[in-house]
Amino acid sequence: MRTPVALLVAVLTAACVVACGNDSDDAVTLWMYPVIADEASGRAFWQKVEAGFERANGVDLRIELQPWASRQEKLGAALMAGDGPDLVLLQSDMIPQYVDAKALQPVDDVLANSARAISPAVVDALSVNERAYAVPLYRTVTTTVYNRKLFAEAGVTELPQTWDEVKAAAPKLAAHGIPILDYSGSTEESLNLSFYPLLWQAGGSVFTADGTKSAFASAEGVSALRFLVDLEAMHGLPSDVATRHSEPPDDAVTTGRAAMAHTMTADGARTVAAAIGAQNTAIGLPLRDRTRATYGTPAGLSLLRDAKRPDVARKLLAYLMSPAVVDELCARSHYFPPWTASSPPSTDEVDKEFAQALPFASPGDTHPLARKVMGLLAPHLQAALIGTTTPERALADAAEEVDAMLGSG
Amino acid sequence: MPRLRSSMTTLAFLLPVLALSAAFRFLPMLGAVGLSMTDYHPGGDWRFVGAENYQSLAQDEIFLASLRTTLGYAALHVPLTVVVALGSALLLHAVPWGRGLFRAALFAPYATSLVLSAVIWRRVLEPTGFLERPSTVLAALAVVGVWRGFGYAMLILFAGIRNVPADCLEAATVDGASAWQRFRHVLLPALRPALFFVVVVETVAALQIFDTVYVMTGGGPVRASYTLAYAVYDYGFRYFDFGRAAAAGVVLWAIVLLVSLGQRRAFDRNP
Repeated sequence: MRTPVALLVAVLTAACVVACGNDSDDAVTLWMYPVIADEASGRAFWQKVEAGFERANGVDLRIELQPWASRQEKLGAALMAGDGPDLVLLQSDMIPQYVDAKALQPVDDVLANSARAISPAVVDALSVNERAYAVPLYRTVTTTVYNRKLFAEAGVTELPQTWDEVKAAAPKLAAHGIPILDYSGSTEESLNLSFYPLLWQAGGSVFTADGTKSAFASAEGVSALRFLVDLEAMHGLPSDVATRHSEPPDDAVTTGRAAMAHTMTADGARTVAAAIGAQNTAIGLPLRDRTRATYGTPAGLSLLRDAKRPDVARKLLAYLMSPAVVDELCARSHYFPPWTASSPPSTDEVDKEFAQALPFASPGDTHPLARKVMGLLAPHLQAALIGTTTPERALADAAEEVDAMLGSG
Repeated sequence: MPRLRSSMTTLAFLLPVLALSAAFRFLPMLGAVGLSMTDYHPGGDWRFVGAENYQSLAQDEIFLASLRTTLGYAALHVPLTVVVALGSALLLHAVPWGRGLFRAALFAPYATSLVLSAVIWRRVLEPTGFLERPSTVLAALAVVGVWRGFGYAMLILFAGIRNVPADCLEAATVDGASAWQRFRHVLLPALRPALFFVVVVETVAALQIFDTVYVMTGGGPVRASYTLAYAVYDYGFRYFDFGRAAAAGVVLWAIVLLVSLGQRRAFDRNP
């Protein structure tokens, strides 16, 4: 791996080469990710989609399956080098950043011709300034997953559903050497899957309503961080909580080293069930403090501004958002369809349980600088978890940095 | 006339390398300087902002802290590497048999994948808690950096030791110089060019530290290992602020250049 300086120079070099070259490749390119966890099933599905579109339209479609890891960095480097795809899968919270970077084209016209009604909340999440920048493919939801056996062994008969219940059960599990909650405080982790759901459960938000200032250093934010710090004090979090990465399928709940996770995906729940047994796995509603909330986000396909063949790319978007394609994708991936009347993607028990969490799911505060705010806030959360500062001070320091950044545009 | 022809021949042989260097090294470097003076969007839009990115970096506490962290890391990494490499080279020189085997074994970490070794070191260090404490994380990273880098420095110094005329050391021994005196007054001055090379190479590597930080700490905890190169990565590839990333890259390049020149002056001075 090269240093970022070398990477930057390499990108500039690639940009020179691309600029000097004559790109005669007229294929439409789509960057897709392992949305379908089963690799063979995913490959078969996308090959079918590719062949179907090529046959109907007589154009060359190239669906490139990319890994989830470092997707933002890879896409940024490709865009910088002028070598990005025509279409790319983006989660709703990523879209404002790309719109701000002037990298996307609106796709309202494609969306308007949808064969089936799309949930207004989904369209809203994929829109910036009333313009839609992605056609939805699916929506995800996370919720609480428990290791029932570990709770029983610690003498906890009722699985905790509120913060108070979690705090009450934590010492009993700690006495058995088990932290109650799996939490990853590494700065590499998305706060959407760690701190933000707790912030929302406390009734707080990341930004003020107009997006001009931070709002997490509120009483609600302090309450959410204090919840974690209190759990840490009673050995209710993994001992390396401040720096640990979540590493599915080796995460703490799957491996029996923690009793519950507060933002697990349906795939994660299946992995837990396979590892510890379905009879020991319980799926609950999202945790509740002042309110019940969790992270869940629509994902859609965005059209890049520099798409080589935008006309064909728009046809492809229309094809990909057709009910036949979306429904099969959701059935294979176990994600929820984006339609107004959304039913679970399959009849299996895990999907049914996760469907209960869907009404509480939110993509959170979408903002062009949301990812940068995560980068500024995460080290301060670490400081509180390590104990070098208080929750109040940590959030106040983070707010100062974030507000300075938001103020400078 | 023959001299001119000889020069032209030399130039002709050098031309391909010069052209490649200009196209793939100097042009992108100039591009990076140009980019640092723009507000550049990945979508392709840009506007000239002059020194605005540099001014903003000068007022950015996180950037300045990353600068201090980088210098702190270099202050740990470079002396440690030189000491370990020099010690290993001296031991290797003293070994009467199996020298090739020991040399290969000591050089092996340098030949391993940096990312792979960082992953393994992370697993090794995690239980110790060194990576979780802001006060110890930089030292832990420096140990990993030294483990990986000392083999190369050792080879350079070993070659330097072998080039020291044996009669000088013998003359010093005959004159009654102790082992320390022979090392301090004969070997060390003779190793000056090799030491200069090692110090410069290791300083440049230390100032550009990124890979191990990326894999082992992600710049944490609490930004205690958030280095300059990591900041460049964050600005560019996470936040798409390519103008600012380029400006930070140019600052890093200027620091490396200044430190290298300073070291050259220090080594050129008579002992």
